[in-house]
Amino acid sequence: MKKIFRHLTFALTLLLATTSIFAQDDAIGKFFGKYVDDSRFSVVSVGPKMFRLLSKANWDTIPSDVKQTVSRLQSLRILSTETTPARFYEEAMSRIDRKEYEELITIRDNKDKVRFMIKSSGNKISELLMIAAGEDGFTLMSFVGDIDLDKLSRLSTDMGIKGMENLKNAKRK
Amino acid sequence: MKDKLFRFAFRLLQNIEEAEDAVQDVMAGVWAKRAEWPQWNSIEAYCMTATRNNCLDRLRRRRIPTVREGLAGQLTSPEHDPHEKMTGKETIQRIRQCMDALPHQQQQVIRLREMEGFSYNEIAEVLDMTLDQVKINLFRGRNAIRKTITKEEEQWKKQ
Amino acid sequence: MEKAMIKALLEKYWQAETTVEEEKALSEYFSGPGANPDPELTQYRTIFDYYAEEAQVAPGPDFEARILRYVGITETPVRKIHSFRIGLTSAAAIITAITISLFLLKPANTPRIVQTPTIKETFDDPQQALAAVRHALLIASTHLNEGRKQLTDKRR
Repeated sequence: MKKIFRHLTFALTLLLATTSIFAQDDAIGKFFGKYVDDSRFSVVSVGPKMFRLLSKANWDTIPSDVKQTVSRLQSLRILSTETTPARFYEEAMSRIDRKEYEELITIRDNKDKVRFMIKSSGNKISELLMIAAGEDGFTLMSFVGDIDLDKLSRLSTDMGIKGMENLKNAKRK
Repeated sequence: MKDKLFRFAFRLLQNIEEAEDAVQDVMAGVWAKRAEWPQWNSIEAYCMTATRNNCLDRLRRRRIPTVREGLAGQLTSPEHDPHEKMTGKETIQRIRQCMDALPHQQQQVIRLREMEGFSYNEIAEVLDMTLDQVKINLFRGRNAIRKTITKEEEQWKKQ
Repeated sequence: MEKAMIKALLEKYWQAETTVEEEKALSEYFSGPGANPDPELTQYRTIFDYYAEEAQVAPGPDFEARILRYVGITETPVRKIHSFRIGLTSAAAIITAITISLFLLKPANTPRIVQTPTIKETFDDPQQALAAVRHALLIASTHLNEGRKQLTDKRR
């Protein structure tokens, strides 16, 4: 009896850990699935397997807080397109289940709009969604893992705000 | 982007394999510098410049027979049957020869404009010239070619 | 297009004063499909034919593969990917796990079999994957920071 119980606990843990990644029939998963083969979209997917392999990469020049943040992630998915950004923004928003995800903050800057939503249980945030639309296009980004918002927002200061501004200027060209 | 770089390299090198090699070199170099990407204004602009430099190096390393500058507009037509109308293919050959005899800058400007549709600004940026220089080179190149064509017609008519 | 217009454009052309659109028009007139230039102007046809012919160039068929092999990068930070099924062993383990847990928690419900395709890994090389992750973190982090600033500004 004990053996089975242990097995079940393990199974449950596995279930809880993997649901948000492999259960692609969650709203965001469906949205990704819908556009994965659409030629208008660029897709990036880094899954748990690759995240585990990241230890093999070269971490020499990488600051420790970045290392920490990355090591706590399980998956990254990005979907983006330059076509009809507003429309895709609306569609993404309409598919997100408000019972699962709550809005964190929305940032408006000129014609650009960036919204963050989080999925949490208790104090732990297990997923961070970024839905952005603007002149450059539409982007949906999903980070799954053990997410510390505080640490995450401080990362940009470390990586160099100047670098980010140059990146922004580059995108506007 | 790699296709755009390829086409640009090809216009400078006039050889498919070499153009592919050039782009390969550039991509490798750009990847090696990926840590700097956030600091660049435009990755594409950097790549175009790197491609140009790579191609210029290759051109220098080639053993090029002396370019007969200034003779481009004066190439005489080869002997042919005066009763036979000039075939389109022959004329194209003449144009090719004329192009090859043009100074490099004129060749490059013509190719980027006529075959790739680059704007004067784009050409200026990518070949590191002033707008005036672009226009002058285009002017000279086009008229050299024009001379070749009309000279042919005159020659033929005379016979 | 009228002969007179073409002659005028040609004059501009020799002066290097034409726009890209005007040059396109000339090219169409002389060597576009169904082109039939006026006899007085046919001598210029070969020039435009030559450019049109030269314009058609393409790299070899394995150009992209060659670069990727040599460098191991994609041309932009993001790349097209295709969906595929989870490997059989992991799928089995997950399905079993879910089936068991669901069965015990809610015996009345039929266990759901999660067998939807996952999105395939974009990168083969951990180095590239790491670069992409850092890039994404940078973007998200910067926007979050903007948001924080806006909030703290409001509070003042």
